[in-house]
Amino acid sequence: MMLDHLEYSEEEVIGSLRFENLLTGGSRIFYKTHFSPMLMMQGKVDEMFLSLNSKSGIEYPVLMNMVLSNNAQVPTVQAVGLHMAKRNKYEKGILEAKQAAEKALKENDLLLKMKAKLERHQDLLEQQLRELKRINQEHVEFNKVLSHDMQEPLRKMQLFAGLLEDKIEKDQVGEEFGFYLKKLQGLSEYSRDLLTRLQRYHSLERRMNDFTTGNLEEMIKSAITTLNIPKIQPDVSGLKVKEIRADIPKLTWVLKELLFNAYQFRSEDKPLHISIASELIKDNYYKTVQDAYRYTDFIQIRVRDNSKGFPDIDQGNFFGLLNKFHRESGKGLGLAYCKKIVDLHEGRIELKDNAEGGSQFIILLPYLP
Amino acid sequence: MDTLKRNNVKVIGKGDQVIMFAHGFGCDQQMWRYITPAFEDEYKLVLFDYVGCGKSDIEQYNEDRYGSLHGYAQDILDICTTLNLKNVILVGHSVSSMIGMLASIQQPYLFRSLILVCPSPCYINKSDYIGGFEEKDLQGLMEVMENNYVGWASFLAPVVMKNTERPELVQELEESFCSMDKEITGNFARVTFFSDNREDLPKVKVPSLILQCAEDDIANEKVGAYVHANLKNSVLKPMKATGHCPHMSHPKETIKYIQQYLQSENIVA
Repeated sequence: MMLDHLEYSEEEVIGSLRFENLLTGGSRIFYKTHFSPMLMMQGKVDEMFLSLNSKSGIEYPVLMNMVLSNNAQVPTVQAVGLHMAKRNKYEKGILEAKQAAEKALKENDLLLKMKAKLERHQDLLEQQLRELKRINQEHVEFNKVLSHDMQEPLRKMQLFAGLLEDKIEKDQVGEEFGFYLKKLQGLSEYSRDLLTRLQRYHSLERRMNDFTTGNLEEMIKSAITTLNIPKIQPDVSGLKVKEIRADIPKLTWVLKELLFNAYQFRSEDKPLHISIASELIKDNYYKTVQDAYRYTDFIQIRVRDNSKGFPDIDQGNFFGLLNKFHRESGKGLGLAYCKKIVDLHEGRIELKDNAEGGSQFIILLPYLP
Repeated sequence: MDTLKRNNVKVIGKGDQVIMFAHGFGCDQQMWRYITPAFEDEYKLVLFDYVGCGKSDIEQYNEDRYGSLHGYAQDILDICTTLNLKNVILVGHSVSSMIGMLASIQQPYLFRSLILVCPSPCYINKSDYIGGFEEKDLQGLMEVMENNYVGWASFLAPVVMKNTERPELVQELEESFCSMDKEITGNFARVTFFSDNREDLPKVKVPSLILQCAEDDIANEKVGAYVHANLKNSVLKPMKATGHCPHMSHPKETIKYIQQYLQSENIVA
């Protein structure tokens, strides 16, 4: 009976066609991904709606029940089905009405939600703008303190120390006195230098260049030339994306800093190996707004090395200001500076363990075509 | 937000090395139940349901997020972050093969290897590629699903009803195996079967094993070969198992190949 409807003869089906072959494409997908696993797990499935395909391609909707029986040597499936063309038409009508109602309900609900969300966001925006204004004001004042108010007393300290030094040379005070004076001079020198760097860090926003198009490979070369350390020869064969729109000089500085970092903390017992790779990937554009998602293109740059790595990589705030993690560390500003540059590109930088030993820095920058 | 509750995460096993199992479209973590016993003694096994599937927290479903396979990949990454998992061996079935690959592209340092059960980067036929289906087949899939959920409360209905403060009308999802919500499953089907991720294959850096079934109507042998050809460091293993769910229909063979691959990996490492 069913075979007649499907326009097949018994010989054409039995032993040569699988049940799946009789299904329409859509039904086949749903049967194989949903009903078939259910059948294997529960041993039965009730009330499956499936569409069979006749030999000439006419749809034949059926409602089926299936039972899996493991009694025989080969597991067999027993199935009963009911042709439901008329009923299906009727149901289709109900479905369409239901869909229309659901759609209207959904849209209405969506509008109400959006309205509430908009109001919430507007309040939030007001608060944030107010806060931003305050921080900006503070920022300007702080910069003045760093660049002037604090520089001046340090300059004077050095001046007076110099005057005292003259007296030491004239042998008017004791040797011990001279020793402490040298210490004081060293410290004020260090403070002044630190202050200059902090001010540079602090005023980075204002010193960013306009974005231009650069080539990552060229930028790496330029960073190597500046460093002028023969041991730094990174493998750049993994650069899959080379063209990049960014503040090219600042980003080149970041690459230089990361290369130097790998060199500075290299292992004594093996030759330094650094690789830099890049790839176009997708990530969520929203990083601060909660429950907002839009997957957009980012350039992922991975700088991997076989250096000594960083201790407690999961805990440390390696990009914090003045944080030092090695005894040989500099002033603890390099990575903070890198982070700030990447942040100003609306990107992210992370430090992770390198499975082959050493560390890896991962930079994500929005892809700007 | 509690990721472990959201994704109904289960951690079992006595070992340290992590194997994470990601279910495919149309089902939930229970589909791994014939596979997990073989690995419990030596590994730490992580199982979960994607948001909107199985016993996940359906309230956390976000259409924007899960309107992209990257949103599903984020579920995997969130779980790894929450449990602080590293060096993960990810076993993904069907669409989860692709979701796993996307997760590994985003954060390659989290994964040791990928085991791809019946993968396909694209289900629709293109001018230069045979995915196995035409667009009209996928439209047909939507209709079939719609027809199978005639009697079901849709996901949005309860949510809306809750908003209108009529909790008595909220209906629970049917508590059966592979139970799913119509609305969410429809979206999941769309994002699964209409996605074209062929360009992502060469971006995968993690080594992988491809398990290819015979007579797989969803991901045929040509598709498996295509994945293998475009995936660096991949091993293609054709199986005797037929169908699209070898981990359920032929668990022994599936376990054997996974174990073989993990052993060969250990030797290399």
